Amino acid sequence: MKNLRANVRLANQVNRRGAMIPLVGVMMVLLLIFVALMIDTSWMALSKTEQQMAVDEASRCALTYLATNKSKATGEEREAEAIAFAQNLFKLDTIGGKLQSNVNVGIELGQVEEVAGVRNFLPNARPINGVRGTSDSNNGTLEPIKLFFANLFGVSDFKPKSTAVLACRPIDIVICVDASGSMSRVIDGTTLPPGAVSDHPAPGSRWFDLLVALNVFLEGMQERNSLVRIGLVTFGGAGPVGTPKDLTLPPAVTEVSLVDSTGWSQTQTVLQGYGVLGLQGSTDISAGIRASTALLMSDTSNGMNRFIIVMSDGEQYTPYYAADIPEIAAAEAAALNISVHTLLIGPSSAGPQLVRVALAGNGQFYGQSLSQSDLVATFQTLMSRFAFSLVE
Amino acid sequence: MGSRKTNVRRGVAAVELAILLPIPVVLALCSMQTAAMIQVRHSTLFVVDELLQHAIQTGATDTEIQERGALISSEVGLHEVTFQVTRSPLDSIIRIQANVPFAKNYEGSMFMPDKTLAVYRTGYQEYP
Repeated sequence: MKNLRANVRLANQVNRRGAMIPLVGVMMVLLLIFVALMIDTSWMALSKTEQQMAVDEASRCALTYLATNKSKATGEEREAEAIAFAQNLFKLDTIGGKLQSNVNVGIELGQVEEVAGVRNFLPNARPINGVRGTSDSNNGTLEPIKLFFANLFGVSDFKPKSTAVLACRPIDIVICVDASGSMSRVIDGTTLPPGAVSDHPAPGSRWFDLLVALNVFLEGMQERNSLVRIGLVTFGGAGPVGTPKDLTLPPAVTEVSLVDSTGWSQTQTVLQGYGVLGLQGSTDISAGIRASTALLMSDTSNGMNRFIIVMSDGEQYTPYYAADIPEIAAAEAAALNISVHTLLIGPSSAGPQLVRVALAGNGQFYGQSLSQSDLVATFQTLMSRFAFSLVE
Repeated sequence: MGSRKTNVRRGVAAVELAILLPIPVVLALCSMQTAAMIQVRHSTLFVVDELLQHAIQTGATDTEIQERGALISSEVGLHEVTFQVTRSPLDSIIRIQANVPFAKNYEGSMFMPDKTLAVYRTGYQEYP
């Protein structure tokens, strides 16, 4: 009996050999499942993000290319060029660790129409105001994404689908221009341009440089987006065109109401008129922003995309307007869903204040321009910024 | 008696476990590291895309893009990231690439201490 017990005990002890193998084996299987899930799902999420970003950028590229002077072609040839350009851009980025050199992202040109707040894309409708980009493995516009462990579960690839719709949108912009006396000075200094009479802007002055850049902006916007309306406000104490100079006039004046591109020549005429009338007064940025806000809120039929672009060559002139803080005026505009953007003309040190105004107004400071070419480049950037938007 | 044999076999399971455990542990560490690498890459991708949109919309210079990149990446918890901007004015292409030293962004990067992740995005800039 004793021997039997000893044998059983011995047998049990012998059987303990390799006892850990099944445990570790089961653990490994479970671990492998978690590893596979963890790595493959992260990879899928990364690939999907890469794909969406690439489609967004390709769509934006197609619409921008189509709307600008980059191509000399016209009609269908120009449209085909825009599509090809966008497709080539799509191939330059990796998706799922791989360049998409063998596929073409789907780019359709058409119209985005808005009915009762819902936007629909109508492919091939004319005139073109939108583009839709599609990337999908199922229709050959994306190479399937290889996964690391999916084969273990009988899945070979990940086939994500991404769509982007980009459209010209209705926008209201008020150009809020500093019409104080200093705008008659040269852009890179404080002297009057040669041959200029005091405070009457002449060629070579900041005012004239601004006119050149504004013309580029207006012509560009006209080409790109037929749904834009632009108004004009001046600030600085000068009166509207046709009135004598008088410091008792309001510090900001609405010169041109919101009009579509058919009325933009009026803006140019008004600004040119200051060459004869002359500029005067000091800088009351707050009054300019308030007048611009009032102008934008007087007609909200164009929707919620409302912007003020403040152009000044100095900061708020405190001896006259100390109580009025431009940052507050900008914040009030922002509360009404109006973005206030700013840019500085000339060598003034007003940059920090204009940065603060832009921040308070949920907008952006577009830097300091010390030459006409700087100013033109800034307005070209503004054009890119305001022409299109991603709607889906 | 059999007691010597019994004593010799005591702890066999522990030894086996000690021999086999490194396999799942190494596997777990490797997978955690790979997932962390993908996650760092994903975070960097958002930073690079933000920079690209900023560059396209504002016409920012290379230096401005690099400064903004450093600011944003530190805010999202990425360390020692460097940014390269490549422009091709002829076809209006701009590419922003972020180089992320993985070891500086994941403490347990024992398997790939010198690995640098390169994340880039390419865009069309109308006015470079």
